[in-house]
Amino acid sequence: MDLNIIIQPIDGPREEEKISIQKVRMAIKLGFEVVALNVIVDGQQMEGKNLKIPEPPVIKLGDFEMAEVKVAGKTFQVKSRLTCVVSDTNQCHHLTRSPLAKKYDILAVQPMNEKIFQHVCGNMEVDIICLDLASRLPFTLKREQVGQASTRGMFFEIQYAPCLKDRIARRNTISNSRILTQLTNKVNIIISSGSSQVMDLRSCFDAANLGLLFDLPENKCKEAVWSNCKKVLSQAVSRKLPGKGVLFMGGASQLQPSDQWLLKACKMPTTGQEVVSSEKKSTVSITSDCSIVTKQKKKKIRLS
Amino acid sequence: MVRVKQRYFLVEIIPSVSQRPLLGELHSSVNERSILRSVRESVEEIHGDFGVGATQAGFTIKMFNSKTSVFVLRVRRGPHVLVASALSFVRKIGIMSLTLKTLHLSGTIRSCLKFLQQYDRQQLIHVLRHHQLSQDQKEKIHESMLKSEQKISGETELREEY
Repeated sequence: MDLNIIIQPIDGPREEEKISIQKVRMAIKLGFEVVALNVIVDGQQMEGKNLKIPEPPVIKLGDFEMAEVKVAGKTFQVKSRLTCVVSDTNQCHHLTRSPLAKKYDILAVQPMNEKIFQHVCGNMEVDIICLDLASRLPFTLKREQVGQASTRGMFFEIQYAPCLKDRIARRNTISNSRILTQLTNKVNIIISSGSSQVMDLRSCFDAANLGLLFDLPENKCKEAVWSNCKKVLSQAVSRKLPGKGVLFMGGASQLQPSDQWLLKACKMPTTGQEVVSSEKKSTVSITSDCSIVTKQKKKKIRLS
Repeated sequence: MVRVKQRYFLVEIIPSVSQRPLLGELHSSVNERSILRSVRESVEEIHGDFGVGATQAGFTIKMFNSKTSVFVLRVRRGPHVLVASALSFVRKIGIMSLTLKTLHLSGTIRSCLKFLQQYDRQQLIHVLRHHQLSQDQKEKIHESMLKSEQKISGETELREEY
């Protein structure tokens, strides 16, 4: 999974579309299953009345691409993601209120100073916190704030595209991400490309290998590329819903023996291909929901 | 006598968009020597002299196919981690700008080639879709695929070579 393919309106809409289609094609070729197209919005665009958040990008895939996906026996999804560079609590307020921002699948925030970082970690409901790791961080990260964000289910992003070219950017990325991995105890981290060019994309396997440079052990590298991204997506779904719950459906035969009481409790017929739904109504918080969901998923994977 | 443990990387070369041939060979400047040199350079770029020194023993290209643009790289077990992280920093081989995609990592060359066979079949289906074939040609392709399967399962030629 790659949750960060940057799309910018550079040379008119047509040129932009051409480049983004090229990127999506490359992503298919590299074997990605989920890709998020990232639109970056500057903080100044969100001040006052002149709120300028563009519509989420839509890409139509031709038969050629879909054929390639089918041959590999996979599915392919394109999500949209909004990244806001914020330096003011006012801008955060505008962002949470904006109806256009809610159209995006994933919401990410890039805080520019310590005060706003504290606000984002403690109060805002976003999925990803991304920091500009390729240059020196404008503030020092504190364990309290980072821990607060990770208990609330937010994920920190490491982008590898800037460090492929530039030596100084590479040094900064490695040192900053090592600080980040230390503070988050090597969980709640996702690795994504952040690529503005087609050739900066790397396959999942290579991205996981790059995690070794960022002081992540091998299993955490894989989590950072696959399972953590899934968590981000499921949380993004739960954030949008008014009831704040996520529902997963599965066959009755897939239930573990310890969960068989659910069938009786719900008065579900056990024979045939009936589907059991186990809804977890969240009265607690979103994060607890997501953890339940992922636990269920893990159980299913083990079973299969 | 304990066997020396190795790791084999199966890597695909993906040329940049402007230089991509739909079907056909890579540029002649991409050969086994130039691939090895550029991988070693990128190891030096990321891990310095230590990286080059640690990976140098037994660091070879065991197979290179310029038509399907795939190669197999052998490294000793242990320092293969250094190579794995450095492979994605390769941006140029010879005069071609390209990226590398790691397909498979295994302990024996045999399992690498098994995987490659499966992978090539997948690719072949995709390529054949874009060409109108007569019934005759289809049969020929089918026959040759069957033959290749026998070859690999019999392990006759492959063992001799490696």
